[in-house]
Amino acid sequence: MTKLEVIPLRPDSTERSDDDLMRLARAGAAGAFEALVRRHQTSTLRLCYRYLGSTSLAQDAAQNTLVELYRYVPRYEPRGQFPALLRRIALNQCRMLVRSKRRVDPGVDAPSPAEDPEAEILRAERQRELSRALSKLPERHRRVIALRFGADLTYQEIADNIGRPIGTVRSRIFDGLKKLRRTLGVES
Amino acid sequence: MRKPDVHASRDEWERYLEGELTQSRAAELERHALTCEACAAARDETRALFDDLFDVPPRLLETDLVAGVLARIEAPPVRRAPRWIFAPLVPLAAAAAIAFAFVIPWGDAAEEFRAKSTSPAAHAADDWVGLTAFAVEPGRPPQPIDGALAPDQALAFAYRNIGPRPFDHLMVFGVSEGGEVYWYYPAYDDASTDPASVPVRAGAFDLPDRVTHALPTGPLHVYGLFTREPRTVRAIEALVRSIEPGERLPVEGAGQHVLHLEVSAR
Repeated sequence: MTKLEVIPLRPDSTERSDDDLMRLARAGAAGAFEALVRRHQTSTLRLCYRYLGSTSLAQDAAQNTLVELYRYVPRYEPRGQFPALLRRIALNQCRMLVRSKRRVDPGVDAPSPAEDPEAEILRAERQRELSRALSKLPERHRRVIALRFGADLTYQEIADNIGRPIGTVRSRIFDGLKKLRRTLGVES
Repeated sequence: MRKPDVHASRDEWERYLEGELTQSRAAELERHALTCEACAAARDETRALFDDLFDVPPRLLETDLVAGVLARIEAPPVRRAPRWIFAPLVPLAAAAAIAFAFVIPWGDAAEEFRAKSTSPAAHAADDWVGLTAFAVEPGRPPQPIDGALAPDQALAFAYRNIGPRPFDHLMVFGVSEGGEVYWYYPAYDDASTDPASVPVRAGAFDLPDRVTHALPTGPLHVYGLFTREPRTVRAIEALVRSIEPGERLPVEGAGQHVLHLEVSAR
């Protein structure tokens, strides 16, 4: 006998897994996809920012990512791979944005208003230099650095995400950090 | 055995912060940094770099994407203005020159490309296909690219598709040393689409469009990928990510020709 699944029209998003929400969105449950967007928008923004180095570009890329995610709803297979899928989409969107806006200087963010304006200006300046250095990295290094520091993934998670051995991930991260240091003019 | 007082390099401090050192070496470095100002400073600077890498502007995290995403999902798709420049912009005389330049000198310029592009481990299908790139400048006939081009160079292409069993579909795209893909055929300007290969005929033909990308300086590997079934941009980009730029793509039964070019400022 087949057990029927009851799909509520307003899913309780806080208790549902990503797979469940994707399944509910496919079934037309109101609010399911919106709940996914709310749940993952911050992590997507973080990842895109670390790849692109600009708040406005990160916002564009993150929005494109979540719109693109919606296209996966009809054919999504719930196998617990949702975060990996979302990160793959995000990095592809970042890459496309870099390609289409190659001449955009990544360091265009103004410092945020803060309690300590001087510290905030210094912080913004460091981020600007870092973003410029990151933008000069080859894509394969930029991708793993973004996954490590923008998504806070372990090396094994990065390896699973990009489909490469963990040793390759490790060497790309440290090669990438070395290139970053050189560009930033940090002595070795 | 390491000497207990050996200084640590930046590489090693990075591995330390990433938890990639053995416990004993990590403890050794910590002890050493207590008495070595230079190493302590290097460690602190490395830690500051890591902090910056994890750092995100607070106002970015306050961004609410929900309304924008839902509005775009509910709205009909909007195509961005293409950067593709269509055939009418290529003068007919230039198109004729492409065809002439392509058919006649194939044994010279094009063979030179082949010599640089295919590996000794020959793939039989590759022998029957070929790709030639031409620089297109206003008021001048297209010139075959001899290995170097400018970042904003407008390009046109011609192909050869002959042999006992010619192919039916073609993709032309460049791959930079950083792994970025620049599409020439099919046109790919809208991230929400996944266009497929363009159909090709048996014989030697020029392709109708001239295309300009903002290319990064450095090596650019331009692929002509001939297949029997159409392939999609996303599928090929996934394959590109699995190889080193310039290597043969793992597409079974395909004919491939790769032009290894160098992009440099004018």
